[in-house]
Amino acid sequence: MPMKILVCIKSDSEGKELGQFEALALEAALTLKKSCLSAGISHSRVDVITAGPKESVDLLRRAFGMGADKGIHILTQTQSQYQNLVPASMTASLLAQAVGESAYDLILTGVMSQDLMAGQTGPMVAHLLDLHCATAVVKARFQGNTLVAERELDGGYMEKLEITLPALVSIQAGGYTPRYPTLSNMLKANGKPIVTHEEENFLIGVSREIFLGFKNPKKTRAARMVQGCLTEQLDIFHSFLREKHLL
Amino acid sequence: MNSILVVAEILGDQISPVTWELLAGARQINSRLEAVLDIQILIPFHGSMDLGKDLAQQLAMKSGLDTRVLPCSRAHLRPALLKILEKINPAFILFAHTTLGRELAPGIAMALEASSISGVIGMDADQLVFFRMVMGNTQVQMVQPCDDLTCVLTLVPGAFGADGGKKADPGVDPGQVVMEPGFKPLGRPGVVRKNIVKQVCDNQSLTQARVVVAAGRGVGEKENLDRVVQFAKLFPASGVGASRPLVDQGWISYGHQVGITGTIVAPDLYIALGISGSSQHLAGMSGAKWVISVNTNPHAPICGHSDMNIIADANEFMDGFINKESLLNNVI
Repeated sequence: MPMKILVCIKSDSEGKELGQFEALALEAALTLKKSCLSAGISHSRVDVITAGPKESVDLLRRAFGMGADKGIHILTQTQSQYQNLVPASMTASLLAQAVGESAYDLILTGVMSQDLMAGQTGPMVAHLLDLHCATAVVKARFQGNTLVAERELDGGYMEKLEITLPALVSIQAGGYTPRYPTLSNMLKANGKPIVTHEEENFLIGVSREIFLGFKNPKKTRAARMVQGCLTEQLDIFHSFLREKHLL
Repeated sequence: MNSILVVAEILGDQISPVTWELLAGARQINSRLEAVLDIQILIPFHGSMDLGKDLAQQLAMKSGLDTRVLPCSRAHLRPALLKILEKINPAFILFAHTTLGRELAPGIAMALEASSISGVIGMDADQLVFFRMVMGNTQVQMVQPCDDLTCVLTLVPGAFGADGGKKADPGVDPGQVVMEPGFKPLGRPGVVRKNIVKQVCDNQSLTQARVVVAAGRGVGEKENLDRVVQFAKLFPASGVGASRPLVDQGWISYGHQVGITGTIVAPDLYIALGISGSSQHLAGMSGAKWVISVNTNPHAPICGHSDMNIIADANEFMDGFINKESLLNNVI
């Protein structure tokens, strides 16, 4: 049976590149797709989905360059009351509605995003779509109708899981290295379909948290800044070491 | 909705230290509320019932709080928790921000239509406002749960103090222990949890070092680690460390990884070369006596947690120091 994999992606906190864990999730998906092809299962595919403003379509194209097959773009308005962050429950609601009746065997997300850093969207989408869920997966392979995965527990432990499909899994670093886009994929990218949904076409969830804004983190140490030329910096470093008897 | 429920974590046959931190967090929440809530403890447990009861009694005695044991297999934690949460209907549910807590909390919040705030590192002094890290660990986000909704939180280990809630006031009666009926699953679990293995961590060179020189992505390429080793040798009793990305990329073995998921170090001196400072890395080195960071970015998260920040390229700095030291040694 051909496997249909969906990867939920977004940008890093700067807004232009694919997020670190999102890129890993995409790499995991492409590796799994390749293993299907090697096993003689043709027509497996990797779709990518993102919820964001019109610039987000660049992320979908980047994913095409890496080898993804189809893109889904939920076009959203920036909400200033959230300081350009979106509560995970709202994103999860949009993603789940966009997936709708499409029967993906596996949905992948990064273990957390670089901006919100919450790791919630994946498990929330899993709940809304009634999918089995496992997080912090470092490496995985298909085995019949299951995904055999290794995932990271606290304290330096790794746990082996057998996840019955369909499922949603979030990817942690350590097992995959994101590939670079290839020229041939980039040339094919314009021919790949992108389905665009307007946010208003979905039921917009109400946020259950109020984002009050940001503040700078407290310093825990002196944080003396040493700028200037290298020679001066080396002198200051050296004096510090001698003063504290560290050399 | 008149209770704060703490979901205890058990490690093997012990109460995990993070459980006491959750109790401290629960007490802090109570002090921000107009009407104080009852704090209760829930222990989801898959071991022997004798052990479960024993652990519950320890918790109930030391904390003075009512403690329930919920027998359920590890694979059925989610449905078992949802069932009992429906019964208890707490206003707040506190999980530890561990792999399992992070995995369970958001889906449970969705099911309960609750606020879901993950990675809490602190609270406002007076208001019911929670703090958590965002934007690549550079900013603290302030989040308030919506009124009248259940609030599900995951608290970062280490953020609420290891001693908090450990001992009840003398004279406080121990809490009641309740053994809940075991959860009866319907059918095979969707996620079967097989074996757990400890990663091999050959970290003696790190734990014994008095000076740790740690490299991050700012060193650029794997080949530059030779320079890091050379630089480290200029310090007595030194060891070489690395941030997680370098280990993930296979540049250096796991035994050199500094951080919560690697090795926690407390040397006399920690020199961070080209490390931006993820939360888990900072927690791994915060016990160092002195911290010097060499980084091209004066706004990197590590800067506020270093005694001295040298704004320079790590490789140029190392070369400069290696040359300076060899000149000094030649003069002598």
